Amino acid sequence: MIKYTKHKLSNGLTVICHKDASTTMAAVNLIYKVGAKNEDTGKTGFAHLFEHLMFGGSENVPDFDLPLQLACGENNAFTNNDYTDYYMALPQDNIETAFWIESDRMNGLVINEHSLEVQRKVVIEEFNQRYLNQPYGDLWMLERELCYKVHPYRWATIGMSPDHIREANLEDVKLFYNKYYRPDNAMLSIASGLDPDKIFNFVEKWFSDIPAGKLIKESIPQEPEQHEARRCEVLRNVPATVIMISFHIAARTDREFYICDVISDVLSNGSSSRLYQNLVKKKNIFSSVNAYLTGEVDPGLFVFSGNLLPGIDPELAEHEFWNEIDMIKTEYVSDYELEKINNKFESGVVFGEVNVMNKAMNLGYYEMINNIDLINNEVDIHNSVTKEEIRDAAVRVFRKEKSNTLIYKGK
Amino acid sequence: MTINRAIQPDIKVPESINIPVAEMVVCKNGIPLHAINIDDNQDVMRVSLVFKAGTRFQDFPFQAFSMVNLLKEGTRNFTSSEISEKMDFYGAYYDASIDRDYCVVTVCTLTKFLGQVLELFTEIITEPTFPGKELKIFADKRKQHLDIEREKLSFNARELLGKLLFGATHPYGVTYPSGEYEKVTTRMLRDFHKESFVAENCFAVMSGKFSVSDIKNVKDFLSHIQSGAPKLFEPLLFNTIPHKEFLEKENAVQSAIMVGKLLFNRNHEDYIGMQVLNTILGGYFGSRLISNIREEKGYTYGIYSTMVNLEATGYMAIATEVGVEFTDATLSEIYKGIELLRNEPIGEFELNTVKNILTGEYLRIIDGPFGIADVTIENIQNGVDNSYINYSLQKIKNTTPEELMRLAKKYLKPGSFTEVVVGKKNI
Repeated sequence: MIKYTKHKLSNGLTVICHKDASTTMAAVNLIYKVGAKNEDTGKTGFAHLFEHLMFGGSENVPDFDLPLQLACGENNAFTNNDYTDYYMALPQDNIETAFWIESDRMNGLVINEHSLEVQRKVVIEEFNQRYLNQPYGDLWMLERELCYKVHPYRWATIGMSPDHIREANLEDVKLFYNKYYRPDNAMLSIASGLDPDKIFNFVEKWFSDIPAGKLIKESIPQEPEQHEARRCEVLRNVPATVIMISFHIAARTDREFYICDVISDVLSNGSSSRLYQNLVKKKNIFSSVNAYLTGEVDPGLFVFSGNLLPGIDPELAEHEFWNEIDMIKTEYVSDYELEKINNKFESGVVFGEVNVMNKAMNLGYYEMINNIDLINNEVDIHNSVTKEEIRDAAVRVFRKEKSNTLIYKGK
Repeated sequence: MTINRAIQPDIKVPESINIPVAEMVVCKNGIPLHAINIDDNQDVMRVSLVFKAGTRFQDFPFQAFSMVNLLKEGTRNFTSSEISEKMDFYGAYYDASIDRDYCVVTVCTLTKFLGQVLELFTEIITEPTFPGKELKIFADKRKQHLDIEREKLSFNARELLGKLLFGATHPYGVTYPSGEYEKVTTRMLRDFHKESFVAENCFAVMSGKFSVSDIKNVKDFLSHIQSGAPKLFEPLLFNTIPHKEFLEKENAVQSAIMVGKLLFNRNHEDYIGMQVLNTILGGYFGSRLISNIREEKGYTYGIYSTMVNLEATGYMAIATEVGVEFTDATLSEIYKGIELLRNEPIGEFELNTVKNILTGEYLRIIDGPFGIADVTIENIQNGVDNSYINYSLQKIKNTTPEELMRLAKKYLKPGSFTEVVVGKKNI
């Protein structure tokens, strides 16, 4: 159980505080509700490029990292399709330094040509390192293109092409900052040993003068229902063939999401799970196998994926996946299996609560999806899923005509 | 109300770190158990066993790695799938890892399930059977995994650097073709387990929230481990001649670069000074290499310098992946950066920054019961207790620019580095 206090500044910044008396460290997490899904089709990769520019200095803090390092702190950031997350950990006595530097870059980021030029190059090298110069680097790019035809989830956060990054200009950067990097589009969450009242006072002091933005009303094009099975097969110079079969599921806060989450646990959470025991251990089809949800805010995917062992025909592997799918569609999951995965889910949550950074990040995340209570309720929701619901959801979701099959063939 | 952000808030730098010292009890068979109780946290526990049974002690390729990974794939009383079932049912996390010197087997569990989990753990540690069927599955899987890793330039560079620093057949440098997995037998695994998983070769660390009776439970569990004389080994010898090697990769978009040199392990008197020097060069975001090669020139997404600590020695390594057209320019910048450390004293401000960064790192690694266990294990491996953290923190705080220049002149001589490039050069 994570106790928290929530407070909203007059400029719309949401602040969430959790006190953990066992620590003297503070974790400070700041989410801006903007990700790759907010990008234009011709300017993909921009949200992530912008994240790099956030480290280029602001009006009173020419070097973002330095004051934090002097305060014995550390920080990093990531961008995904839904949001951008900036996080730090530092001794709680120095927490005002965190607020000083975060508020300064929210208030007055310095945007210049040199910083943009260097970060364009850095991000292109990131593109090269992680997506081009890497075995299976383009796997997820192909997967997104296959599964999404309309929704911006069809491109990865790095963008569709290095060209989009090359073309990013200063004007785009300024517009983007003024539109999305405003207090009313952000949520600040803190886990530390300090009293929430003290923290709220600090936050009020450092953030309350930052002007609110214009309310963002953006409609993200939603993916239409899929009616025909899709396939994509590619040949690549990699040692093992990978198969992915994916299905569209409901949005993150929908009950169907939790039911699917339970299904993915039954199938592949832990080495006693069905896919591992049946397809890796008993039948020796795959060297590794997985079933998981992509977990995005908008309707995401239920993905089956596996690395084939040498000599295994991809058709056979695909067939074996469908056998497992049919089983879950026709037979009830046993009470024992449900109890096991519920135990495992619960202990996973408890293990995740041992350090302050995880807690701060989770608080921010759940607030971002507009349902902060989920941080304490998800175990109960997970436990309440019934075997009837599992079978019904499996029948609804895992249909041939709604499947997306990617065969990434090795040499 | 408007705040004047030109005025920076005050900062406090902790003078020392409050790290719990482990309480040690010795089991009947001589295994030391180090217990760290952190009672104001979640009801979770971690138990780790550390054996001096790393890959350097093996007689056959992949013998040690396969042994430690197959421990839970079948025991005298349980099959592999029964063990998985039970571990998952209690929501416990099991992990076995190995490096060149040690292997570490760990379980994390909710404290309320400690008894049940230890019962399984006892079987796993003391009575594994290494069934042939499981070995075959494992070997196929790992062979494929290694083949995939070897497609990565950075992995190739790491393996190559190890070979050049230590020698291609040296226990710290040797690598094997993935096909060697097919030759591993159940017999080899049983032999290695029998000779290396003995009480004389082991220590244990438990951390988290627990009671006196939980300690007794863990002690009872440890007492099942047999005594035995660990095998004797010749001390390792080190003799590196600096060497450059270039491995061309046809379609590379980037080159993986590693520059390294053999130094010493954590017990050496100059270790902490070199750790500071290494941090200045490439050990943090904002370091000289990052500032120059990423933030100034944009050649790479990342460049780092690290000190690798082994039982019998240690080395320093700089690693990066850069656009192929920047390969030569990057190498020359790396050497320039090293030269600068030898020729110009480090400014007080920069040195102070790095001291604070290292203080912060110490604070973060000990946050939470799992992190404290890792630190404790590393300290014991190095023959010290947790007070070493504060000893080394004081030593870091006392480092001077003169001392660092002396170290740079002594240990970072031009021409003394081994250099590896995997990818393309001279574009």
